[in-house]
Amino acid sequence: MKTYITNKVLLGLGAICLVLALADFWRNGHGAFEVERAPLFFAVFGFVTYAALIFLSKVLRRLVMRPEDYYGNRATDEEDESFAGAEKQVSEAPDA
Amino acid sequence: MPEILSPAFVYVAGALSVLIPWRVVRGVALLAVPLVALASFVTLPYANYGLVNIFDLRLGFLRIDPLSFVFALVFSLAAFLSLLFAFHLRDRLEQAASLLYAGAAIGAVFAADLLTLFIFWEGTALASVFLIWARRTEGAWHTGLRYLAIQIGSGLLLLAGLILRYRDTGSIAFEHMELDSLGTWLIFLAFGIKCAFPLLHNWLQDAYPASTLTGSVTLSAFTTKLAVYALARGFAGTESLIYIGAVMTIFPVFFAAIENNLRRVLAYSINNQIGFMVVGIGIGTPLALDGTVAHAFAHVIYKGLLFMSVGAVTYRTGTAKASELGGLWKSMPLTMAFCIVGSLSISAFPLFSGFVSKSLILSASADTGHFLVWLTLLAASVGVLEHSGIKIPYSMFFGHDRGLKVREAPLHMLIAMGIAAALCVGIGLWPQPLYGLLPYPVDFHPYTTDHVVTQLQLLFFAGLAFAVLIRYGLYPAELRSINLDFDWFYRRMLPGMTIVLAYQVQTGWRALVRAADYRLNRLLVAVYRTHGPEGILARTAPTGAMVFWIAVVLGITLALTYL
Repeated sequence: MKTYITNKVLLGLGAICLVLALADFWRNGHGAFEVERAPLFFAVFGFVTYAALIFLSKVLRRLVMRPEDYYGNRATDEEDESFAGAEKQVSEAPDA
Repeated sequence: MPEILSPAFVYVAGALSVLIPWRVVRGVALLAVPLVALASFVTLPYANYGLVNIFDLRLGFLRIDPLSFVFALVFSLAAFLSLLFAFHLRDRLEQAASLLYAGAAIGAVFAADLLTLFIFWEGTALASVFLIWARRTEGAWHTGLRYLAIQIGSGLLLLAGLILRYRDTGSIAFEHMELDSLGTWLIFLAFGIKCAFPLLHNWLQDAYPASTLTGSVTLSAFTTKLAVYALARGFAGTESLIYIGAVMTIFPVFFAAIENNLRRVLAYSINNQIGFMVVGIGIGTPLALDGTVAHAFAHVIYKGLLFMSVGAVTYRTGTAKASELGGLWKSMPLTMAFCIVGSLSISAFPLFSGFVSKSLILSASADTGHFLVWLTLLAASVGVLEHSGIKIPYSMFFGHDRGLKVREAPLHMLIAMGIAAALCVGIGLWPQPLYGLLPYPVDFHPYTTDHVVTQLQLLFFAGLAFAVLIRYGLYPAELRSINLDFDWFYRRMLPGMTIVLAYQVQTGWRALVRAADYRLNRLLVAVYRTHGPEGILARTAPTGAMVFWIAVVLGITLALTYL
């Protein structure tokens, strides 16, 4: 399976982040809260929050994930989207 | 203008154009309706029009002030774009429903009294359910019923609230209210249901993915933003809204991250975005309220754009499930570009519309010293980036290449998406015209070095986290599945409990009947034994026996007399 996030993309993104981290020196430290003035607060906050969010979601998934037919014919989860106006009919899901 | 009372009636009259038999002519006529309606109010100076007295009730159909004007403007725009996106439709039912729904929403925004608001409030519920039923499947029928029950319920609470309020204050004017009586609490709750407050939110994720592809674009614009308008008008500065809003921004983020149906991801995302607006209403300062209005304006456009891009992809591929999509960047490059503009806007990247509107709310929360709320909003911003900024475009256009061979979206869809995308960028680059429309004068400059740098740091480092997680296979896989949410309680637990209860009542009743039957039988048998044909009391004795017993009784009487 081809992936779009290659090492090159990762490196490029890393480079942008590095530039942004350096740009921290240009901030003149306004902000209503003490913590905003801490160096790289927003960078660290962004990275950590994102990772934490994903891991917490995976925990949540263990609790709440159910098969698609869980609500049966009282929900549209299993229905073909051609009923919703899609021009193409997917009778069987294509195998990934 | 007063002769037609409200632009809503332009939509009602315009809905008759669905009778036009030629599809293209009909489509053009439908597109003209929002424009005609817009022309009917856009040039009027701020004032109250359409005043009617009925039974001593002062109704006002057309209150034009800065707050209602902005919402009516963006609703008109949303109506136009969603009709353009749905230009290929042949379904007259859906076309009529779209117009009536948009008209009811605009009518509600202009309502100057609670009774008029109630009428249009229920109007949005009744019209919009047909966008779900337009799917015409059993699942859609049930989903529509659930949706309708909740929406009508909200309207009934509003009606009850306004009656109580009328009794208390003698007025039905729709003005600022305090949560000091049962009446206002009921109105607050009615607004809260439509606004999808936490635990009252599931109708949104239930109904929007079940509607038609074109219907969900229309749905995404009106109902929740109408509720935001109503809260901003009625309950600005109500402190509890700050915390309700903060919760709203954060909890859908986790559900959106693991949801497979991309239209449902967007529905969770609406929840999260409305949360920002609710926080702004709760803070209630001029800056915060301006932020709420600006964010609602920007949100209607970029959320519509995202629903359109998912709709266009679904239109071509036949599915909105992340587990079945991927690698479409090559076959649908324009849709991809527009989708990414929507994603960058909702994620509040500098130069895009979300940046210039959300900043107002974040600044307001910081200025008023709500540290935890501010931190929550910041975390929720990362969440937005996750589900709407990255997940939506990534899973459709990149992700896993499923080898789908499709064409680019139809022209009218591309034009609708193009206009929305242009507006997203335009507002981001030149926020002043939008700021000029806001209820309070704004002196806010989003493009300061600090703000741009910190926002980019936040977003790019979060993006880096995404890339790292994907690279090392830690990102949640797309799986064909659904996730239980609070609606489990009324879709599964309560019906389940009802079934169990019904079974118990049935069993208990049967046992009772059986016991009573047995007792009655026993009684009848006993009665039969004495009174039946063979019973002792049914025997025929000879006359001699009677004479004998009379002699005995006489003898005893004699004996007793002489003894």
